[in-house]
Amino acid sequence: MLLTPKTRRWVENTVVYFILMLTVIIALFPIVWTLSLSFKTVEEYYVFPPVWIPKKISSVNYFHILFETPALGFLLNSIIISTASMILALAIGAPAAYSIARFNTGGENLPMWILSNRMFPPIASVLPLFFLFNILGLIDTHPALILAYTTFNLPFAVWTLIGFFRELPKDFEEAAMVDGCSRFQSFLRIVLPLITPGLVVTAIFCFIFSWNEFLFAVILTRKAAGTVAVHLAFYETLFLPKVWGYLSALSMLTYVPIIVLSIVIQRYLVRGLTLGAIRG
Amino acid sequence: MKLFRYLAVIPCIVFLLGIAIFPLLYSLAVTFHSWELVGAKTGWEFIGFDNYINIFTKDKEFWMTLYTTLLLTAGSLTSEFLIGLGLALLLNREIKGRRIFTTLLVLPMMTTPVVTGLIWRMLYHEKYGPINHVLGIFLGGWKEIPWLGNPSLAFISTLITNVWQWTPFSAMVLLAGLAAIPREPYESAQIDGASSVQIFRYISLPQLMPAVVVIVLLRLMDLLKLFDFIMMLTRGGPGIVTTTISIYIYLRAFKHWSIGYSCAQSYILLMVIVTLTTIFLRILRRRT
Repeated sequence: MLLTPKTRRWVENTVVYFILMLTVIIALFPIVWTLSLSFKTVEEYYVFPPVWIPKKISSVNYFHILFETPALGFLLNSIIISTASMILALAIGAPAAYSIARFNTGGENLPMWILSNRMFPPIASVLPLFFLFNILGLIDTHPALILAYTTFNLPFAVWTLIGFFRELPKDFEEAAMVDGCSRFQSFLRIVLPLITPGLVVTAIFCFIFSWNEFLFAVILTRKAAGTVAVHLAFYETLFLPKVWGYLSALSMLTYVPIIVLSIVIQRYLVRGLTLGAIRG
Repeated sequence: MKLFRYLAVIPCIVFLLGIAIFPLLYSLAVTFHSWELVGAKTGWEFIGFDNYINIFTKDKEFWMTLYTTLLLTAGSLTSEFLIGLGLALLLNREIKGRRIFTTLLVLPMMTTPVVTGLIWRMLYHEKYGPINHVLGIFLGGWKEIPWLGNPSLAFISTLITNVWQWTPFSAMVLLAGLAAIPREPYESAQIDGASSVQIFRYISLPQLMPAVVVIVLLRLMDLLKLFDFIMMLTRGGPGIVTTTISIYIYLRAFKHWSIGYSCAQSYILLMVIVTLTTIFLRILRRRT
């Protein structure tokens, strides 16, 4: 069978589309199924064979989760802690990254040392952190997790921002300094605004890392400052089909902020990964 | 003028020293003591290297779970990378709707691992889970496959879930890497009559090495520490088939409350991670 180049290209493209569609289905299936389950009533998910599209769309699960359980409080804690850690990591990390990117402060060792902090398994840091925070009276408070999360958000922020700063041509800062700005002022007023895409990407990743974290949360907090991840873990021990509805609803509530954020950054994502990560 | 550059890094260094390094050093000191929180003998006592000796000689489960972790890491990383590479190559073509694909494919990566574990636990359910349902349609007849009940299957199921979640990461980084490669070498190679495989091997692959380094390092560090989603998916079971080293240390610490011993276990894990990461870093840097 003789295939003209045009036909061949058409066949290739169709196959590519098919594979990509298949991949997307596999990628989204678990999430979509959970979404569907979250709107089902008990009769419909505790059933064999499983029902795919609920006949009765019911918000009873969400109602229960939001108003009859402490989930709302946990969600709020997650928001507060993730936001604060994100801000802290950027506030400390941006100047450091700038200094390293522009002036090579600390040579090769400093960036490597900063990055190495991310190597530590949480299980190694969590026990001593627990004792430290216990002495400081910080157990089950927001600052406990905010500080703990910054230990891995900060290295990440520094590492990623170094890449972005290195991409920025020096002309802008130098022009500002010639006009009389101090180094610090030019950093604040010229460099930072120019690096906004990088800051946004880094900030959102820090937020997501904090939002998704589990081990520190479960050990360093109890009921007052617990994150939504901690609350979800409660369902692990209680994993009967009859609570699947609540579990799905809670999972979706945990997931929605992440989906929104990742759509926001998908524009910057590929670029962000190139510049930040590959620079090393 | 040099003041700014030093002032700029000081908060970072101070913070990391205080919150990250200091606790680590403190716990190192603890590993040389026996510190029981429950039991006949509570309180501190200096015992030198005894904790470490016990781990090396008497703690079979430590090494078994470490082996499980390494197996899971190797299997997962390889699968993620290969599938991610395939996806990146497909996505690198000029097709319409590429942005939609990348947006959608990125979603698994963003899922909270705790949520991933719980969702997949529902999916894998023998009786009410949709996976068996779909398979039943294809295999003609309902089969109650115990994805999480059977020990060998449980390991595979954990691997599949992990690959599901993290392949997009490799795909995106490799895609970024591919997108950065200039056109000219490709065009000259095609004019010279090179096959696709040759083009890939001699042009794409070398240029991708920085991206490969990033993926291997980051994933290696994360996979060795795996805890959250496995805890939710199987709680390390059945038996200890899917217990990773972090899960083992955690469960044991909160069962026996021998803080000195648990800290020593954590330290050995830390050493393993640092060693492996450094080895890979050296190997990959040499190839770049």
